[in-house]
Amino acid sequence: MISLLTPPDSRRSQDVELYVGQKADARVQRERMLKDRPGLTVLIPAYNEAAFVADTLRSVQQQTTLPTRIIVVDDCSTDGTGDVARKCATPEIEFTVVRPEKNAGSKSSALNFGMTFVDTEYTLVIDADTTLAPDAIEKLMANFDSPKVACVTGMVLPRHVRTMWERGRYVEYLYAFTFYKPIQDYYGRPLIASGCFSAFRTDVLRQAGGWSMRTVGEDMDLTWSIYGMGYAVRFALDAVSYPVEPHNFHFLHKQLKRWSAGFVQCVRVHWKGALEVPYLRSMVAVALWDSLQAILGLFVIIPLLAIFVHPLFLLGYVLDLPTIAIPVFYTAYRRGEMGRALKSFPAFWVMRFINSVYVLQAFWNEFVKRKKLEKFEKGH
Amino acid sequence: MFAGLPGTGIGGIFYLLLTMWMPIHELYLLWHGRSSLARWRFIAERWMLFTAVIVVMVVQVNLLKGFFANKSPTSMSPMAPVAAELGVDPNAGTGILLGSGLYAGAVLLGVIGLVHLVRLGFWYKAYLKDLAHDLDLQRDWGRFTSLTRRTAAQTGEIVHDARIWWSWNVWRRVTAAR
Repeated sequence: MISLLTPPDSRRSQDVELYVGQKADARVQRERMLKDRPGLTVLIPAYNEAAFVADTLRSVQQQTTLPTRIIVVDDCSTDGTGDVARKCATPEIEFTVVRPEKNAGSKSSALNFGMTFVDTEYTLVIDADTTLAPDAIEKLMANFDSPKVACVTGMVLPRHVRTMWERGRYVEYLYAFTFYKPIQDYYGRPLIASGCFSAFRTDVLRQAGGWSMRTVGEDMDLTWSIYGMGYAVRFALDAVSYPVEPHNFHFLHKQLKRWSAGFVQCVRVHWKGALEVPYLRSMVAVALWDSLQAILGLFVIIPLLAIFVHPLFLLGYVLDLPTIAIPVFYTAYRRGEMGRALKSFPAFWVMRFINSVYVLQAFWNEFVKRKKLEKFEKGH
Repeated sequence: MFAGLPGTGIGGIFYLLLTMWMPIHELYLLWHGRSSLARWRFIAERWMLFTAVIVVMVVQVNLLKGFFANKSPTSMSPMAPVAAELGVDPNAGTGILLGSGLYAGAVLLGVIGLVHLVRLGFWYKAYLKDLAHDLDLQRDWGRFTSLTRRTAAQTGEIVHDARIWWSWNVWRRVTAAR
C-alpha cells in the first residue's frame, strides 16, 4: 500500500537509500570482520595441484572468518601450480607463494619450509585439493577456547562421491568422524588431527619441531607429539572440509600404503609416550588389536569356519554392518544425504577388505621385515 | 577408529563402553564445575545412538537365534562329519552368539589390561632406577659427611664448598633421572 501512494521518484530514492544503507552495513561488517580476524596464516602445501588449488583458495577467500595471510608452498611443481595460485590473490588477504630451491620430497618438508614464513599466532593447514565449507574456519577457530588447546581438527568428507572407492571412503568418513571422533573428542583425545584440515597454535607447532619426517603419517605423529607435550587437541564436527579422494585404485593404493605404514610407524615411535596419555593408550591399543584381528578374522577365521564347520559362518562378514549403519545413516539423514549414503554403503564393505590387505602389508614390512616406508607418495 | 583401518567390532564395543561411561564422567565434571548444558546434550545424542545400536544388536541376535534354532549348523554342513568329530553342538546358534560376545568382552579387557600391565612394568623399572640413584646419593652423603668431618677441623670455607658440590651433584643426578 505504501509503495502505491509514494510517488515513483521518491520510491526510487528510498530504494537507493536502502541499497546504499545495506551496502554500507555490509562494508562496516566486513571492515569489522577484517579488523577482528584472528592472527591466522593458512598454509597450503602443493605439488602439481594446478587442477585443484584455485578452488581451494577461493573457498578460503569466501570464509565468514578471513585469515590474515595465505601461504602456498609450491613444492617445485611442474604443472604451473604456483602461477595458478598467484592469479587467485585478493587484496583483503596477504598472499604469498613460496617455492623451495628443490622439491622437498614430502608434505612434512614442504610444510616445515612454509612454516619459516609464518608469523601469526595460529597456523591452519589445508591440503591443496581441499575446499572448505564457508563457515569452516569460523567454526574451527571457536574451539581455541583455552591456552591448553594446541590444535583443532575439522570434519572431513569427500568432495566427489562417484566411484566405488570414493563411495567407500564417504561411508568410512561418515562413520569415523561422526561416531568415533566425537567420543574421542569428549575424552579430549582425537586420535588424529587430519592433515588436510587442522589449525595449530604456531608456538606449540614450533615447540614440537614442526612436522616430523620420521614417519609417513605426519599428521598422526604430530597429534601424538602434542599430547606428549601436555596440550589438548579438539575436534570440530561442524567445521567441514572436502578433500578430493582417490577416484581409482591406483591412487587409493598409494594413499592406503601411506596411511597404514604411517599408523604402524607412529605406534613404533610413540608407544612409550602414548602409554602415559590417558585414554589415548587404550584407543591406540584397541585400534591396533582390532586391525590385527580384522586381518585374522576376514582372511583366516571366517573362511576356515565356513569351510570346516558351516557356510553360515560367512555371515560373520556382514554381522556388524547394521550397527555401523546406524551412525552412518543418522548423520547422512541430518545432512540430507540419505540416498547417497544408501548407495555408498556396500562400497564400505569392499573397503574393509582392501584396508585389511594394506594394514597386513604395513605390519609385515614395518615389524617383520623391518623395511620402513620412507617415500611419500601422493594420493592423486 | 579412523578411515583406512579395518575393524571387527571390538573397537565399536570399546567406544560403546566409553559412551556408557560418559554420564558418570560428566557427573564428575559437574561436581567440579566443568560441565555444561551443551555437553549433556551431546551425551544425550550419543546415548540415543548407543540405544539404537543396542536395539539393532538385540533384534539381530534374536533373528539369528531363530534361524539357527530351525537349522542345525552341523547337519546342514558339507563338513558335518568333521564338525561332529570336533564335538560341535548341532544347535550352537545361541552359543556362538554368546560366545562371540564373551570373546569380544574378554579380548577388550585383555587388551586394555595388557596396556596397564606394560605401564606397571615401566613404572617398576623407573622405581628401581630411582632407588639405585637414591642409594648412590646416600653413598655420596656418606662421602660428604666424612669429608666435612675431616675438613671441619680445618677451615669453614672448605666445608661450604663441599656442601655446594654435594648439592650440585644431587641436583644433577635428580634432573638426569627425570
